[in-house]
Amino acid sequence: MTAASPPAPLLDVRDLEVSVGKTPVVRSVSFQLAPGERLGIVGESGSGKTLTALSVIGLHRAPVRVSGGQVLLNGTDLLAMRRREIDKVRGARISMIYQDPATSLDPLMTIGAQITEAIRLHEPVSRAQARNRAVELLGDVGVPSPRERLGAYPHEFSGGMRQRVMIAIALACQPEVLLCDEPTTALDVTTQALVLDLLDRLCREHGVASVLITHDLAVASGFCDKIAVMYAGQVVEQAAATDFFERPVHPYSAALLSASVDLAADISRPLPTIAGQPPVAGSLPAGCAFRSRCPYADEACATGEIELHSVGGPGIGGSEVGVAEARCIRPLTDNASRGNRGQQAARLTQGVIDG
Amino acid sequence: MAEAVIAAAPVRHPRRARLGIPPVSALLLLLIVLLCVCAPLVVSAGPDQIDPTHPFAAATGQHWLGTDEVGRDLLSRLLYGGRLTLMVCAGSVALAFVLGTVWGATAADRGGWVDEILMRGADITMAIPQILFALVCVAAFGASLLSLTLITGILLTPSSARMARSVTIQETGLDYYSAGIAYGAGKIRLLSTEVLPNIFPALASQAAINAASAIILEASLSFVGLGVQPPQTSWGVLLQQGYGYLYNDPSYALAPAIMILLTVLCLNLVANRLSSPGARRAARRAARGGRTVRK
Amino acid sequence: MADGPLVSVRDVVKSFRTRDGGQFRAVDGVSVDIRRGAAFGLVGESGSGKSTLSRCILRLTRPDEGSICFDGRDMGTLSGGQLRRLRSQIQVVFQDPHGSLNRRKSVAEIIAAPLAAHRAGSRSQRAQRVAELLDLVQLPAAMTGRRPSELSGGQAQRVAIARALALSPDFVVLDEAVSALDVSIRAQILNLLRDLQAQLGLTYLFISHDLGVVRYLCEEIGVMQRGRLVEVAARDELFSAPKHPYTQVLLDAVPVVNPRRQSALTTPGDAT
Repeated sequence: MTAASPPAPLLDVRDLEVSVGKTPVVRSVSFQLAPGERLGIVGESGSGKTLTALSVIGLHRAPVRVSGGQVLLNGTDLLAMRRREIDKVRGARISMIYQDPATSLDPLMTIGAQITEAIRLHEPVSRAQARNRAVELLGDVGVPSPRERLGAYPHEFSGGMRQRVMIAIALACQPEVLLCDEPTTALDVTTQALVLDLLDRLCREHGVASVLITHDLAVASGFCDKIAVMYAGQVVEQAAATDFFERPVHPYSAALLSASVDLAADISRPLPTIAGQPPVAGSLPAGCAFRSRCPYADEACATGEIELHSVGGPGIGGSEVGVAEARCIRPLTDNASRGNRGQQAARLTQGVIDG
Repeated sequence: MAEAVIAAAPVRHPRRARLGIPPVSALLLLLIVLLCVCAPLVVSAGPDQIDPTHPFAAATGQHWLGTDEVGRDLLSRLLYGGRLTLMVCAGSVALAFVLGTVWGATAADRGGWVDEILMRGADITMAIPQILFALVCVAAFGASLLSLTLITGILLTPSSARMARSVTIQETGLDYYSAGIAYGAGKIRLLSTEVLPNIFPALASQAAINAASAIILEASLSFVGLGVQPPQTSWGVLLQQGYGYLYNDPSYALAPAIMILLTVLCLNLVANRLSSPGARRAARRAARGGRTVRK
Repeated sequence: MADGPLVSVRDVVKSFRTRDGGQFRAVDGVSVDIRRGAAFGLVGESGSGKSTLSRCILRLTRPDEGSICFDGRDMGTLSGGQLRRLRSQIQVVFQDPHGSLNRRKSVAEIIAAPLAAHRAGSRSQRAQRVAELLDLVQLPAAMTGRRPSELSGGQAQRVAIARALALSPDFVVLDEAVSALDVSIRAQILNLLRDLQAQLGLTYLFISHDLGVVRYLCEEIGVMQRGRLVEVAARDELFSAPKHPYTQVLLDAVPVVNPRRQSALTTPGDAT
């Protein structure tokens, strides 16, 4: 956050466009990741967050196809690579973990075999060396008695343990970037906390940059340095996590935060909701996709492409410069005075009940 | 939801038009059935009209497929014979459908030892050598169209029962069934009004496969003399008669063989189409190989 | 109408046979009362037995031991017909909005199905009731002809709620009813559930693993762990001063929307 020019990002996604058939489902998504940095991509179903991740790592399959943009990992465009080349990159330099531990591991292979396979795909080591490394990894992720468990099958593990094994596989070759697609959604809350702690520790210890995809803002807040909110296939807000949670700028982000029910929610009043229905890909209105559900929308919001632009100003009472990027022409920091902001927030949270 | 997006992508067969444009196999099947049913309109000669002066005639304008050993028009025998074959097929499939659905659904619903007994019964029935079973039945009850239909129907029932049981178990595991019990609907009511429409595609698909088996079964049984009895004719009987003259006049046996082949092929293709789109989607994904896109 | 609790569970045990022949006690001696008009929350993680307990209360499965009384009557002693009639008073909304609706039926048929099952009313009366119910769950009347595949998750869940209310039950079991919904839709449905309870005087058993949601909806909460009910307390008490250590563990594990990371300072172990 200083005046010096920032170093080239580790992962640089520029204007990623993904379509299913002819329907664009991810439109012009851009974000950067510095080494060791953590980005949270937050959105509801249909926002395109999972397809974004799959496209970045090259795991998308027909009818999903990337129709534009670049994904630069240390300067090399992953999208321009052929299948064979990207197979070498995947696992070794960029890796991914998934939501459902029950289906992400091969049920017919022992976990030892799965980890050693991952290692030997990318590193020229002997089987014995790979096994030793696997034992180390399992110990790292907190699986008790790792050497004995090498011969166990996935179904012999609980959900939380399987998730740990998946993390071990993903980090086996020490990638620089780790994509996590809802890694704790299917887990119990106590297991979730443990797995998130584990991810936190491992990413810090090994200097792994990570992208956490989730619908759960609370989980994102505990893990990420910066947040990108996706809606209808586009990034609608991007900001540092502290700034985002204190002062969201895009009306959708603010509404999403107010609608999240956590232990601090106000139970004396009806929950603030977002009117209307989530958008359906392929039948989006002109202008802002959130327009029909936004209490601040006006005619200007209905015309043309709305670009992501900086919405900034000094942090509230702090020395940080809180600059957010938002895809909104009437963001919530218009009218710099706090009074107005308070008014705007109140409008948003009071009467917005679904009709 | 990524799955939902992909599933909602432009599909060449939207839900409504799933059964709209009939595929070639269904049309061909319909053609075969129509030809047999409307045999009198297609051929002028009857199937039993003998003409001893022209045995084994080659294909001519008067006899499109030639004649058999006593001068009967082969095309006519093929089409009229087809009637009997298709009748036996339809009857046995219907029997297997009704019996099998009740058998399988009861096993699925009751579970426990009732399920065990019913399914072991089905296994035993499937294990009986078909010709042997037919032999015993014919010895006991005589050979007739009815007995042939019954024999074939019984032999086909276990596969219908298994299919019915498996899809019923699947459906009754879904929440809408539990919700139905919870709001006080009786099981019979639930099974017939809520579950049956959902399992129907699978049952229909199985019925089409059974029909193909029925045709082959009829041909086999008639070939060994346990099925349709001469002077009545069917494709199996024609095969048997043609078999004796295979070196003199190959087309004699070839004609019913090709009819059987075509009909069975079309039935199998139709069976594939009848199965639910979900199953077809899954099969297509598996064939393409590779990861399914998860949310 | 008895004066006591609406639902009374006494020493219920439910076991299942495991693959290697042993017995697994999903519900291990649970007793709890649910007062009339209350919203009772049941929280626990997977394997806690909360779903099994709800299935016992709904009589979708019979408990091996113990009794469950509804409105003073022991459900175990009822005949088939009596139980069927009683079912109109106990309804359920399941977790998966699309799985709980028959995909081949229209919205109107789905909502009217309980009425048809009990032969309640004529066709036109049922149609009218369907319209009333759609209004109650804030769905437009034009939805009657739609199929579940044409509904969003939130809409489908509203249909499931409408169906649950068709027979004007006293008691509704909500089994993770909002867990599969998006955040913004979840808020809508929670508001709806609250309003309906106030409007219709319903009693809820709300089962969830999400403590935040349970806190919003329920005044009394029970915590289950490995088949046992380890704590039952009023909302404020449970969240501010839980008595059982497991409850505290659960509360500590819930992530709160709270920026814990300062961008420049990253002290290990800098957790809340």
